[in-house]
Amino acid sequence: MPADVDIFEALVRQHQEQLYRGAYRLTGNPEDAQDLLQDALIEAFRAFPKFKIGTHFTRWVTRIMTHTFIDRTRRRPPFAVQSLDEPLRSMSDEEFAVELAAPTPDPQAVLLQGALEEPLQNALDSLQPEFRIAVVLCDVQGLSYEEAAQAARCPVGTIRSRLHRGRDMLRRALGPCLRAVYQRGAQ
Amino acid sequence: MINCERIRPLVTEYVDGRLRPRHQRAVEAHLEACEPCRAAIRETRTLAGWLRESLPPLPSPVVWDNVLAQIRAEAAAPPRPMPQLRRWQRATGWATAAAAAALALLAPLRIQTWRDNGPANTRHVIGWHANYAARWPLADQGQMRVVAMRVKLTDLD
Repeated sequence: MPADVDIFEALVRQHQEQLYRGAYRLTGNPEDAQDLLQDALIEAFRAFPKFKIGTHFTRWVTRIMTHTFIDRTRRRPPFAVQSLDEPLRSMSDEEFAVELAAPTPDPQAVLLQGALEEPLQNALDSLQPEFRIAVVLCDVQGLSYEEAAQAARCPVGTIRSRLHRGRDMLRRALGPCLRAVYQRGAQ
Repeated sequence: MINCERIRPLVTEYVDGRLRPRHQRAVEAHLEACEPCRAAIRETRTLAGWLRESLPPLPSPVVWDNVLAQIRAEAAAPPRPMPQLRRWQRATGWATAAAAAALALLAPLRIQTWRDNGPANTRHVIGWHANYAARWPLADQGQMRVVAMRVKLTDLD
């Protein structure tokens, strides 16, 4: 009979990419992501007797990770929000179109090559924590509105509203990238 | 026909398939004739797809080995001791237990006496007292005398 710690380790290794992605998208850099992940996994291990084997491990850890992130954010000085009047991009429309043109015009392939990684994370980093949390929980980690509300400790209506505003702000920040992909795909 | 201002707040729920059927039909009817709102839906879907599919640069395997080493150290550590109660918490705990014990001892005497005063009165007093004691167990010590005097329970004076 495997020990709890062996089962826990197996689950972590099975889901490690998804877990790291959630932590990285919340914090915006590798050091803080690793820190957050470590703290969250230690808390998760302590609470592991409450976890039902067979249910969503990633979503369960994500809930704990979100609580840890919210507690840390509250202890920090006020968050400095970058102005959203300037669209955030690390390259011009022309540069981005060139990037898309070679070696393949498929937007998915471009995504996998990492061309969108920096603008995407920059845009996420520009959001205030409550909007970033809603977007990461629902769009990155795939939680339902109800699961996300539980993780963020707020009503479902609040998470829905924050998700809507977070996506709206990201759309404005990434507008040129989004339109370039559509135009390229339409050719 | 619904205008764009009323459609835009519904974009998130429409993309996530969370609208009621009649609202979904209303949005779709509007989209047939409105390119800006179609663009908003399209861009939201694309964005959600990017967030779902994209992977940030992943850490080296050493990072995971270190994290799991911390977990194993946690598993091997002795159980954490229960947090020490502060003096006032211990005093409150004892006082609550003493009050509950006193009330439990007095209950049969009170119920017998109240029964003599009529069932309606008895039910009222017991119900009122149970509700009050559940919320303010320590405050009840003095209040019980008032309750007893109101229902003329001279045994408790």
